[in-house]
Amino acid sequence: MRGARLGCLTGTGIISALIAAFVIAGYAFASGGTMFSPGSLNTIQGPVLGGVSSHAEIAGECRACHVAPWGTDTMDDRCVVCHADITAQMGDVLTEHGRMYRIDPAAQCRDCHPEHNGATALLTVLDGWKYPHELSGYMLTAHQLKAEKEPFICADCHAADVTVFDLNICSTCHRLRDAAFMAGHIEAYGAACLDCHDGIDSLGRHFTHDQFAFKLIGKHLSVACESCHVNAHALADFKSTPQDCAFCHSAKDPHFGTLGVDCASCHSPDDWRKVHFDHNRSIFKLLPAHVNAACKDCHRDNIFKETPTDCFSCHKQDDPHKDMLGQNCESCHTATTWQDVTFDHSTSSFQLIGKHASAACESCHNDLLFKNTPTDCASCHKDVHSGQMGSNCADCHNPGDWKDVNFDHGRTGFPLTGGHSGIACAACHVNGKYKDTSSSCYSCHAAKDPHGGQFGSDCGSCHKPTTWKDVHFDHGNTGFPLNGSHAKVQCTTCHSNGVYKGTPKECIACHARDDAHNGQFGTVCSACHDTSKWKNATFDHGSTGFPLAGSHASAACKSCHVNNTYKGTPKNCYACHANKDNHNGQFGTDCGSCHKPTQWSDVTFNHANTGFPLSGRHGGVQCKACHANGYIGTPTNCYACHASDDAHNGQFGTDCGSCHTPGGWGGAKFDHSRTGFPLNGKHSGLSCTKCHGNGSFGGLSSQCVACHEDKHNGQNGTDCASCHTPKGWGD
Amino acid sequence: MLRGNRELWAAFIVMVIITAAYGAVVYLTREVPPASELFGHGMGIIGFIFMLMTETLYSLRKRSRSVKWGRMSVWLQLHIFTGLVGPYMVLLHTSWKFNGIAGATTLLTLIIVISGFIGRYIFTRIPRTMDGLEIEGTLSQEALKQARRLLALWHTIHIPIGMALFISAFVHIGAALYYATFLK
Repeated sequence: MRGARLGCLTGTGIISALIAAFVIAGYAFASGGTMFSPGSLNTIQGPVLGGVSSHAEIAGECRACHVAPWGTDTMDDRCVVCHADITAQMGDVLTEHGRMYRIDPAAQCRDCHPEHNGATALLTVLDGWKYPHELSGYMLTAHQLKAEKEPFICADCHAADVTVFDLNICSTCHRLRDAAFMAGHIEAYGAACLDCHDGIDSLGRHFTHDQFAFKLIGKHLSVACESCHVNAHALADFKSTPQDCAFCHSAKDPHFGTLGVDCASCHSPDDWRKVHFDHNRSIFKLLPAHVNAACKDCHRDNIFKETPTDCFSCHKQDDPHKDMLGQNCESCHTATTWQDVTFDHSTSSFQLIGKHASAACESCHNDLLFKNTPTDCASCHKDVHSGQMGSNCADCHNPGDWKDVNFDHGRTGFPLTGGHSGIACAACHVNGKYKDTSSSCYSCHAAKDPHGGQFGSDCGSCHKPTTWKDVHFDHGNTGFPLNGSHAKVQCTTCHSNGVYKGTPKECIACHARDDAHNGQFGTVCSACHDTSKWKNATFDHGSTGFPLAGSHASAACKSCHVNNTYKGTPKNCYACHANKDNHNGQFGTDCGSCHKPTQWSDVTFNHANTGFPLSGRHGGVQCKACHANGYIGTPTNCYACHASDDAHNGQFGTDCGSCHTPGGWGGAKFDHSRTGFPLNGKHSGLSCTKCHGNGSFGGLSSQCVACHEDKHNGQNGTDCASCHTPKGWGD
Repeated sequence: MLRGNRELWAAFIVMVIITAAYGAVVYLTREVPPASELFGHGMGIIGFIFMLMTETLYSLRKRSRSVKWGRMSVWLQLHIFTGLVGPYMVLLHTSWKFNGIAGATTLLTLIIVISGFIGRYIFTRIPRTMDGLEIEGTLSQEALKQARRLLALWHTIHIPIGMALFISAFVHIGAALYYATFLK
């Protein structure tokens, strides 16, 4: 269609379009948008909201309600600018709009409230909307289906405006269903159906009389309406029903009007018999026991006025005291209970002390006469002692407690001390017998004597009353005083099986099994042992003929008495010491002939007895210096021992004693004259070696020149003595 | 006469059908179909599309020099059909309220339809080929000349009315979109 153009785009067409556009724009500007209105806004006057009382007043202000499609707010936002109360309702589910908002949160105002439908058009149209009808005060519970089984629609009850309800609709419809009933019902109760009916189709289920000043409680709840609403047909009749009790109940007033017409001041609707008369408003206050009494107990024949208030008027027949205590009951009794007696017994001659204070009156006063009651104990109290203690109970007992007895047992000559003080009286006084009760221990304790009478019947001689175990027995009285260890042992150690009498006093009677000597020392242990300690034995070994001296005294017994054998132990040394004989029997078996008991080395051997007395240096040498090979047969010649000592190489023979003495090798007394060369003169003063220079003594020439240098050179011969004397060369 | 006017028959039948549907809706909903709801709104939209077709299709075909789609008489028949059915549907769309710009648009629509009828009467006095070309010689020159003058006069009146109508209609549509369709 190239080249085609719309036939309308002619000059006049374009001009016309421009004019039309201009006119529309101008009119729109002048009319404020009403040219776009699809219909008139509502003119019905309502409350002033947002400065106007009808929508029509803002007809030219489209934007008062309308929003631009590209705007952020909605029409509903514009609605609530003026209708602020709806905003408040939206948050409250108990309101119409609050409930509807929850039924359909997406619903908009205009769903139910259309506009632009004309000046008088309906502003509320609920068709098709689930309006919560119960919020109008009338539920549709009973208006779901019509008689034709078709559902109700709004228009069935409402005219065009659903916000308006014509009461005549009720009777119009219901007459169709039961004309006769409706005629009578409306005649009786009027046509204001909604005053009673709430849509649940009953007066009773949701109708509450409590909405009225006269609340229905107690028995009023179950009476028929017409019982009180006599001949009431119109609502006004119901409302005008008098509310005072007497209107209904005066015909049956048992008080014959004497107590006024305000029944409720005493009675309650719960029950006529439940009377709540505040007796304390009268001059006679009702204290506990009177509260529970039936009214007619005092008010006979339902006469309540001028009832006498003194006790005796009512209680005369109750007086058990037979008028002996007067008619002033309240001087002792209270109104709580007859038993609550506040009699001051101290005003009588008998003070109530201790348990008397809490005892029931009748426990002493056998009848309720009270007068002339005897005051002695025995007249009331039964004597459990059968008169043994006399008739004055108070001597021992006090009124606080029978068991709190203050009896001084010392008065009986048997003061209670120790264990006796804490026991029950009946422990000794069996069968309630107190008089002539024996005071001997055995009279009570015989049955429990663990000694079987071995100590007689006077328990007190040993036991103290504190406790049986506190025993003070003097064993010395038995002739067997307990000393040393005996004092520490248990009685039963010696007195087994509780046998005390006839216990032997001999040591061995108890200690037989302790005898370590197997009877070798007899049965009298005390001969050696004492009672302090077995080991402290003091045996006199001398009594055996073998006194212990020296080392024997300190040696252990068993070193001689092997195998604990004491008896028949040989006394000779060799019996014990044979194996230690260093002399191999060379000196016989009597060691004591040389050795002393002090110690072996303490030897007293007399060498002289051997024919070779030890003198001089012999007395100081060790025995083995000579007796290296034994003792017996030791030669007595000097050379037997001293051959090695011979400094003379046998030149003087073997009899050393011929020159030497035992006093020492030195000091030998050689008789030089025996050599045929007596030493005279100066020869006698020379040392031996002067002449015997080489230790050679034998063969030396006795010639002078053998020793002396010859100054004469042999001129005078060799015999110097021919001229010279030994006295000196000069002689 | 109607034998040679298929478009009038078609328009009449369609209008009867639409009327029947309208009546059914009225019966069922017990109210005049509002312009803003499905039926009424649909009537307005379709009717306006028909009116747009009336305005444009025949005019474009008539003035097209290059492309010759269909015979002019068929386009004229369609032009007449839509020109009748469209305004009728728009009339039903009004829900019988004629205030404001919408009322003005309806009035202009009524005027344009009447104008169209008058135009057709004038137009049919000029013999044409099946393609709409005038066939000369059928009428006397004087009569033909007068007919042409009348036709020109009619065009001068009909087109501005149509332009005013469509300006008014567009404003109405815009306002409807603003105030109703996209209402929030």
